[in-house]
Amino acid sequence: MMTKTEDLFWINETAEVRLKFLADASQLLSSSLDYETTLSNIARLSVPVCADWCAIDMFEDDSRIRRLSVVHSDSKKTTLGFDLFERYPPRSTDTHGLALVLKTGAPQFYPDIPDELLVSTATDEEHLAIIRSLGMKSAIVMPMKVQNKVLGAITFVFAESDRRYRPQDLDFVYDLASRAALAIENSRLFTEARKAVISEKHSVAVLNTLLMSAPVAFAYLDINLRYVQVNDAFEKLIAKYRDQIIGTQFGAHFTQEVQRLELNLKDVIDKHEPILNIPVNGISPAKPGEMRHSLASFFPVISDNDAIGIGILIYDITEQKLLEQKIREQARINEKLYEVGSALTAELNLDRIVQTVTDAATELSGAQFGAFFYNVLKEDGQAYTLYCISGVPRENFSKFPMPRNTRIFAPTFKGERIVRLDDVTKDPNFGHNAPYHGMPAGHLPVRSYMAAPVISRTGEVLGGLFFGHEEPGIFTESAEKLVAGLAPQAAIAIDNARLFEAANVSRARLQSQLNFTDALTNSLGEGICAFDSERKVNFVNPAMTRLLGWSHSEMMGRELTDVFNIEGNDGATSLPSPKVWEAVHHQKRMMEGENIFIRKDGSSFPASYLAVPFMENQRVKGVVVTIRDITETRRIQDELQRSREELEQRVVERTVNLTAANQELEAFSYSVSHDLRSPLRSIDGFSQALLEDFADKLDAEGQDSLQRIRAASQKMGRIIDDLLNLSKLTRAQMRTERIHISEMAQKILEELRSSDQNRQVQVIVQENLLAVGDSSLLRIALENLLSNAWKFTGKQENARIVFGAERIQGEKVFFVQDNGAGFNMEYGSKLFGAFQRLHQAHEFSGTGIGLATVRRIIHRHGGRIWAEGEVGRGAKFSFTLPTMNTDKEIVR
Amino acid sequence: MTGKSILLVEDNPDDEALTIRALRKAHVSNEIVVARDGAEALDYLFAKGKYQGRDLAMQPQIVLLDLKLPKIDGLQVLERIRADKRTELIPVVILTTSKEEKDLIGSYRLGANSYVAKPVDFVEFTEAVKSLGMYWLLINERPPFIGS
Repeated sequence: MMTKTEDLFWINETAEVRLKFLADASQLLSSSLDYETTLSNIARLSVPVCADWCAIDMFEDDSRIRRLSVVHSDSKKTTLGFDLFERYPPRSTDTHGLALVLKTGAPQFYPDIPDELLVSTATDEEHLAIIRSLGMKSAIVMPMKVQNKVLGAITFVFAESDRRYRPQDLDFVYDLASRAALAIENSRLFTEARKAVISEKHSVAVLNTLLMSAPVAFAYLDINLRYVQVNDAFEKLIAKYRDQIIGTQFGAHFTQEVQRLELNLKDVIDKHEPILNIPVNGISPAKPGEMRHSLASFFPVISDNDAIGIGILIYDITEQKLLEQKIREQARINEKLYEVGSALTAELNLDRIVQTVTDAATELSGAQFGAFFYNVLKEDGQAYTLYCISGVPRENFSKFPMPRNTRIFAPTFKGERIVRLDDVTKDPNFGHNAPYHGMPAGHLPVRSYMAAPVISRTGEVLGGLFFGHEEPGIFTESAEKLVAGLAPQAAIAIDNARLFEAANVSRARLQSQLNFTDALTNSLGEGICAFDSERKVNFVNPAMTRLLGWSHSEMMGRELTDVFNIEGNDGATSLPSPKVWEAVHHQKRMMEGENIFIRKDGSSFPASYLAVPFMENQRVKGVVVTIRDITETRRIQDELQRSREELEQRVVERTVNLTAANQELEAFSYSVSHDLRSPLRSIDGFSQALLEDFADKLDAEGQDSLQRIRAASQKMGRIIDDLLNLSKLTRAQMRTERIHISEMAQKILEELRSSDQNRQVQVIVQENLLAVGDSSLLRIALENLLSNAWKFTGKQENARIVFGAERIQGEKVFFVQDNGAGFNMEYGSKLFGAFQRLHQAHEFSGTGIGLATVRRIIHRHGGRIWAEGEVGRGAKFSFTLPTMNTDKEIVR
Repeated sequence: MTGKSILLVEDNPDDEALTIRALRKAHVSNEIVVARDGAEALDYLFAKGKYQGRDLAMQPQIVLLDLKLPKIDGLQVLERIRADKRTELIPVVILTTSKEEKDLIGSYRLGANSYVAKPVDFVEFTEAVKSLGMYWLLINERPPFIGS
């Protein structure tokens, strides 16, 4: 595609050149009243400066089109221009070109002539071939109009020179066409007038009729520049009646221009030279405040070679001027849209796109400031609003929150329509929404308001363009059109930018993923290697090359069975076997195993392998193999096995030792049981025999001594029994089961009560407590604790014994509590030692082994036992019984 | 009470004296034969050694057997008694100082008829022997002699 700057027609032409051309053209147009010749000359003047082809066509009264002139630098082509016109005249049904201009009176502008236009223009194949051969690139068809009557058209075409017309070229062509049209009209009027003079008889009538009723303002001045006659149009023009005008000086009705025109008019009279098409601008006398634009022509009225007066023709060209302005404005907008469009097409940076759009729209709409609020999608998919400001510093808006969906903004954010308000503060939708009810304090003053939604192809409202001005009524319809034109372009650009960004993000993510994967596979100790479906290596990581001793390049492309050499290949589970490949590649299974791998140098190492299918779109694309050197693992396993065996050996030894020790202990206990008790029994027995057989020979003191001997022996017998029990507890095999410990305590207490019926003891047993343990051992422990409580509350009037459980730091703790004699916590540590007593024998009887027994039982259950107490205020024995699932005994 | 004898196997002379005293206090007037170790007890029962020629038809009404004995211990003696047709039906009461469970179980397993742990307290011991005598010497119906 051509670049924009170099090929445009006028870009290198200075205003002077343009003015020169217009001046030359004007000269031509005013030099003669023979407009046909004049227009042909204009056409000639235009080529090649303004066009490669120039054609001038006249529209006849019967709607026929007459080709007046065709100019091309090549005279053959000039002929072709006429021939074509003859053979394929424009048809009234045409939707382009001359026919359309004739129909609508609007200029046709083809910045680029597409082939489709030629196709639709062509009448048949031959016609198409010919017009294609012309190589037309760009064209303007400009009507020549006077008073909205289309007289003809000027056609400019660029072909061989490969240039293009720009929107602003329209202005120039329009100017040229307007002047040409006036020349035609002048010439016609003049010709009419001359015809009338020739026909003496009708001359006055014709002239009068013509002049008085012509749509052009006409006046006739005498040589003193006083009005002699004016027509209806003139009256209308200056809003005065004929009798108010006639006799007055010419300048009386045209304030500003009088002096200059008067001088010129003297020339007209003196030199008999007409002055044609002088632009006269001024406030309309008819409509005060309205600017009118006219072209005035002054003709000398000559009689017998003397000027006897001046004929004035004034064309009101205000409408044309307005149209022209509109066209200029449209052209400027087109140009800006084109510029912005080109900029947007080339831009993929979102920030720059919105800034370009906002700047352009603000500038063209005439706004003091503009803003573009647009939604941006974050990576996580959340949308948030950004904005860009034009015309004022960003700080003016940074302290305000984002515009919300208020009644004023809603049509924009909902994407409904463009809002254009001459005074926003007077709009019925203004000021309804809390908290501001209008503009927040400190907001730039806004009266003129315009806002357009920017809507994506998908229908999503991407954001809105907002414009403001402190004066009311600033935004015109054309500004609205401009914004309407810009918004879709901006939307497309934003869509593209988003796509581009999304693509960039995906690419960046992919890249970072690849980098990560690279780093990972490179740093892994595991060897990784991938095979394509042909069983050829297509990826290998450094660890794999280290493990196998092949270089990277040696491995790439190598066959599976060449890469992995297995010692003692049994075919079934070895990695290179077809079975493994079949399972992974065909059945999509994951295979693993251990093999001895042989390196390139022949050495070997044990490794575990994992082979998994590599899937893409649910199809197997290859196989990825990971191998891990398990030399070290094997060594550790071996070591572990060795130390386990060692440990087992030691356990066996210790068990043997323990068994021996235990047997010794048993023998010892057995002998204690027999050998210590037998003498005691003798002492007791024979003391009794003495008492029985020799009672008469013993006095009271002697008998008392024998009783003491007996008591001491019996007590020693009990001590021996308790000691034996204690040692039995240590040795006895444990049978753990679930025990209803509450019931057990209840039974023991009932036994105690029945054995000592004189006592009143309040017994409280928490119900339904369960424990896991050896029931006979636990019974011994509970018996000891409860009988202790029973014993030590013996001197208490309101004796109370409680058995229960509580939860301490999540652990179930059983306790036996009494309100008996208690103990001093200072000696608490002695409580559980064998033969330790905290009370004197005469206070409370006992062997001092009971609590040692309890502690041993609880310890054998893996539990803990502790006591709290205070002298005279009772004691509390607490113990835990962890749930044991297995018998921990090793011995026996 | 018939003239049938009681065989007391006891190595401790003190215990022997006390046991006999207890039996007598319980008005047991049977002849009491004392064997001072296991071997002697077996000699008596099977008419061997110094009891060679003893009439085997005259077996004791009951054997009171201590467990801890020199030479052959009480359980072995019990085992031999139960293993021989001539003696298998003689009631054997273990009379011992031991309260060991394994002794108790071992005795019953080998066919002891009763197990008495001798208490230190002589009064209690006398009570125990008394009830023992009541049962085994008076109440219990002995099976007919079937030895050869």
